[in-house]
Amino acid sequence: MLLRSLVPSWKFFEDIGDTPFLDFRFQIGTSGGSENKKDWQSAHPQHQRKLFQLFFNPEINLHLAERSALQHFVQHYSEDKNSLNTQVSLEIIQNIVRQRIPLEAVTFEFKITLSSKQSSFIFYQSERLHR
Amino acid sequence: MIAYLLQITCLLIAIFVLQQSLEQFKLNSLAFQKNRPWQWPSLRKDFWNLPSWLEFVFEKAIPHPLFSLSRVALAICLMAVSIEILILLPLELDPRWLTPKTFQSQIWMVWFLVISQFLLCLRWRGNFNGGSDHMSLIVLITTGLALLPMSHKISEGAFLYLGVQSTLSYFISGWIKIKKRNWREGKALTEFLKQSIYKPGPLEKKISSHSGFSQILSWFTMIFEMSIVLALFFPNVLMAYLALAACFHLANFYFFGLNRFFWVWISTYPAVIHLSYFMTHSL
Repeated sequence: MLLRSLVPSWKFFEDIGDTPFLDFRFQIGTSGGSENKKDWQSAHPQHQRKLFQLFFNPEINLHLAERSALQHFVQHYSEDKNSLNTQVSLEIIQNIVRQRIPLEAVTFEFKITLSSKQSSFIFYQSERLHR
Repeated sequence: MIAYLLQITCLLIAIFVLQQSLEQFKLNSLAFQKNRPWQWPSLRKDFWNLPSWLEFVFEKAIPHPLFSLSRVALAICLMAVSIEILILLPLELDPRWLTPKTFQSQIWMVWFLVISQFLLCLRWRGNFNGGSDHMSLIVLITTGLALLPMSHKISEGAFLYLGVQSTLSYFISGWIKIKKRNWREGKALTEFLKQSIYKPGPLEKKISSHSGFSQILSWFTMIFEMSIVLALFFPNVLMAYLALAACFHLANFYFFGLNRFFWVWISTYPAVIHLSYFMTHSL
C-alpha cells in the first residue's frame, strides 16, 4: 500500500465506464403483505452544497468513500466471487445498506446495477437479509 | 531558498492535517462505530495474523477521539513552529540559533503525522479519499525526509520528488483524458457532472445542455493539466499557473465535493516552485 501511495497512477476521471449504483428495499414486519414491503430506493442521495464544506465535509467525503467501496466490490467480485477481499467488500456494502434502512425494518435486500450511457444491468442482487 | 519553501510546506501540511483530523472526529462516529460501514468486526478478516497490539490500534486507538485530538494538537504545534522559523529565517540570524531543538521538534511532529496518516489509511482499508490520501502520504514522507539532518542532496532529492509527483499528477491526468474520445467530445465531463454527489446547480445544467460549452471546458481542462510541464520552465508563468491550479481544485470542490484535494494539493506547490527553480538554474 505504501508503495502504491508513493508511486500513484494519478488517473483522475479517466473515462466514463460502467458506473455501479446501489439500490435497496426493506420490509417492515414479518407478514409479507405488500403494504409492509417498500419499493426499491437509491442509496445515493444527492446533496446540497455549502461553502463551509470546503473546510469541513465529513458526510460528503463518507458518501464518496461509500461509492469507492461499491467500485471495489464490483472489481473484487469480478475477479473472484469467493475471495476474502470480496467478502469484506460485501460486508461493507451490507453495513452501508443497514444504516440506510429504518430501525423497524426486519429484512432488507439490495442490488448493484452497472450503468453506462448505452445500457444498464443488474450486476449483483442480494438474498433477503435480516437487519 | 529550499529552507523557506520547506517551511511553507510544513505550514500547509499543518493546515491539511488539521482539516482532515477535524473531519475524522465526525467520521469516527459515522463510519467506525458498531453497525457502521467500516466497523472493525467487518474489516478484521482483511488483517489476518495481526499482532494483538496492532489490533488494539485499529480497533480501539484510531477510532478514539484522543487519536484525532493528538493529530489536531500536533498540527497546531507544527503550524506555530513553522511560523516561528519563517519569521526568524529572513532576519538572517545565525542559522544555529534555530537548531537543534526547533528543527528536531518539527522532524518528530512530521514523522508522527506520517505514521498516524499511514495507520489511518490502513484503517480505511487502503484509502478513504482516493488520490488525496496518496498525496497526503507523499507530502508527509518527502517533507519528513527533507527535514532530516542528513546530506543536502537527500533533502533536495526528497523535496524534488514531491515536486515531480505533483507535476505528474496534473500531466498524467490531462494525458489520459486527451487520449479518450469521450473527453475530446466533451461527453465525459457532462456524464461525470451527472454522477456528482451534489444536486445539479444552474452551472452544471448549462454545461450539460450545451455540448459546445462542455467541449470547450473539457479542452481547457486537458490543456491546462498538461501544460504544467511547460510552466515549469518559466517561473513567473508558473506562479500564475499555480494560482489557476488552486482555482481548478476549488472548481472540483464545487462540482464534486473534493475539498480535501484542494488543501493537500496546495501544500505541494512550494515543491513545484523548487522543482522549477532547480530546472531553470541547475540544468
